[in-house]
Amino acid sequence: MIGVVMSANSDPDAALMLRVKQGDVAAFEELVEKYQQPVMNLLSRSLGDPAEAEDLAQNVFVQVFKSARRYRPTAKFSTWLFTIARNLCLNELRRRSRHPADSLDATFPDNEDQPQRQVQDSGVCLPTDALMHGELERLIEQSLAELPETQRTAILLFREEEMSYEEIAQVLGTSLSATKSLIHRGRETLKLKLKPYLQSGIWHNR
Amino acid sequence: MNGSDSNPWIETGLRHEPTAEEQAQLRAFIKANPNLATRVAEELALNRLLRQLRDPPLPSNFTARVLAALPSPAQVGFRARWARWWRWGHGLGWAPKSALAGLILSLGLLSYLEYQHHERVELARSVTKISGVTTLVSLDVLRDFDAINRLSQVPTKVDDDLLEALK
Repeated sequence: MIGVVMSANSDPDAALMLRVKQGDVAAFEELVEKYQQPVMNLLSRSLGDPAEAEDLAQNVFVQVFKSARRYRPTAKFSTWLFTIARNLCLNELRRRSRHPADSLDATFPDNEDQPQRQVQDSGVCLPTDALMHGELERLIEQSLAELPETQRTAILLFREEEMSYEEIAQVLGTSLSATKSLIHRGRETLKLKLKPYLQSGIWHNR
Repeated sequence: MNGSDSNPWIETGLRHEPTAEEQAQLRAFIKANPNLATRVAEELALNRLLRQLRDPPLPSNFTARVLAALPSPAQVGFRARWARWWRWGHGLGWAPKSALAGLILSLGLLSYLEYQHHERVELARSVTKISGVTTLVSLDVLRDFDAINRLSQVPTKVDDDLLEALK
């Protein structure tokens, strides 16, 4: 009980989740507002389809609400949330592998020259810069998508604020050393694929 | 710089632009390990690329859509009760599980036997009823059934008119 109280005190999100457990929808809304973008980032880059990722992100939060009664703040809320997100994402990837024709928006090798999705550009830059950045961004997204699931998830979670190696290990269900190794190997693969861009200094001024 | 080493500049550099203090530490590291300078530069460049990836767009009504998709408290309560039973079942040892399974099977078997008994009683009752019915008319009578039946369908007005004329 002491551990539960301490965890809820040290993690404000866990405290919010305890309120959700009591049926406080406003607390749930606060959690959705805070985590919708990080969850969407993970799902969109794992599935490669923003529309599908959006639906799944919605399911993740509905699942969080449904599971609120079972929630025990023994770990950080974000760890629990991303574990749910990853499990649902893996289910979706498995479903896709069983029914490949279902995902009509998935990219096909023949369509590689077409943009995967529309991304709002908040910055102001020249058309050539925008094109270059767009191309590079797509290449990075593609390189990330081609990583094995565990390596990609580890790197994406690592990129999110406040996720430590230990928490990522909990989400992935691996040991601490295995998690570090996953991130290291993922980064090595990315460096190989993006080598020309790492040396050219492109994007330095963004 | 292998996977199990902790690399502070990688850890922080992936999440935010290195601070002045972190950059100073980095310069000191490169000075002490000049052979790793290229490697470190690559790591930093990769951090920069990953950090600057733009967030996928989210609709402004995302939260509202999530809230609209939430189940009602009654649904949540029903699921929670069901989940509690399910967990209770999972928490039992093999002996109580076997006893429970045996009980359910016995109840099932008893219900089936009771149903069969009921069916037999109903059948016997029907047979008794039929045996009380007197013998049916012979088939010869039924042979002209259609003709006889049609006779009864003759319009009665014609009969009435005929009777009137005869009077």
